[in-house]
Amino acid sequence: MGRHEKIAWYNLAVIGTSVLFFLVSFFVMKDRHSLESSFEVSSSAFAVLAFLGFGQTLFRKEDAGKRRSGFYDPELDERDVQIRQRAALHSFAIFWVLFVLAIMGFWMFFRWRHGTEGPLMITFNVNLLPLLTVPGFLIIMSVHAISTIIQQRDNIKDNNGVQGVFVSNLRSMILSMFFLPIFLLMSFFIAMQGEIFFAFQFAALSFGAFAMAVREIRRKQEYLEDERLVYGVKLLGRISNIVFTLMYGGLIVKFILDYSKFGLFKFPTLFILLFIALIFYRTVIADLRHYLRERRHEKA
Amino acid sequence: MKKPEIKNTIRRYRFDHDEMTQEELAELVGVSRQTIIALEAGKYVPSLGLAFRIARVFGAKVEDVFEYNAD
Repeated sequence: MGRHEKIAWYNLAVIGTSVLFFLVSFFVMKDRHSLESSFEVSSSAFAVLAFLGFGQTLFRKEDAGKRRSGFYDPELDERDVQIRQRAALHSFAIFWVLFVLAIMGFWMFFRWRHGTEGPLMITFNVNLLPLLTVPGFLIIMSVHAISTIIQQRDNIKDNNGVQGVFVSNLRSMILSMFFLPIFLLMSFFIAMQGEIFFAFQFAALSFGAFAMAVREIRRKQEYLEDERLVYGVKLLGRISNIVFTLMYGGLIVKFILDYSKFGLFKFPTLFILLFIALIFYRTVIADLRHYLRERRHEKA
Repeated sequence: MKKPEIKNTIRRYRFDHDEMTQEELAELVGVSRQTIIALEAGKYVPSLGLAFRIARVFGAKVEDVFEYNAD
């Protein structure tokens, strides 16, 4: 087991311990005290996270320093750097998805519980606000550690040159495919609560994110061996591009209509229309032209 | 469909060079032993700089140690 894998395991253990302490303390306290004070007191368990800082020292290379060959003993070589970068990418991507799901989940929960009529005000202790950063930190650190362990253990199986990048993108797409129905389901719930415009915007963003994932795959599609899979990916990319463009086009038209009510229709609108045309060209027309060119090549 | 791969003969070169260990090679080229393991298993493609350093250790050309297989 390499040094970085050991550090990742250590980080996971520290995070697990702090979460465990928090949960045990919270559930023991909540029967005797209010939820708020139980939460506040139990959150002291996150002090255990301070141990994260010792990982680098505990697993320091004993023979660190200049070697006989003249090279410095690498604390972090090029492969470690690559693994670390990808782990960071994974952790922030997962954090963003979970953050959106949590925010929308809370919003939907309160709307469902208190009805959709009028603004809904909630009050909470402002001292809890800094504590909200803790879950974000925990998610990022945990995903980073898990991703590092998987990549180090795998001997980065999916890092086999360009083909490896493809496998990694395929995984991203599968992940996106998993999240797309969840986001669309949320859009449906939002729409059911009468927030049609908001639901539409949320669904458009979901398709946008999905289209980006598919586009990544399309860039590497020459490494796919199965012809049917190649055409499947192409078709998926084309459909998601078109859906995203049409949905966002619709949103921008609504924006222009709203804007025009204030008599500010002229110059900004021109720019916006140009922007729509550009997006439409980049995502739909260019895509179709590329497709037709490919067909011509195939026939030739 | 094309399936480009970069193969290498690091393991053979190590044995030809007095059965050099992975640790020794790692030390000579400035990486960790895990990176050498990943390289030999064909699961990591090195940077150009590292490829040149490895070839230099064996007194060979880069194209002798690393082979680009476009078939």
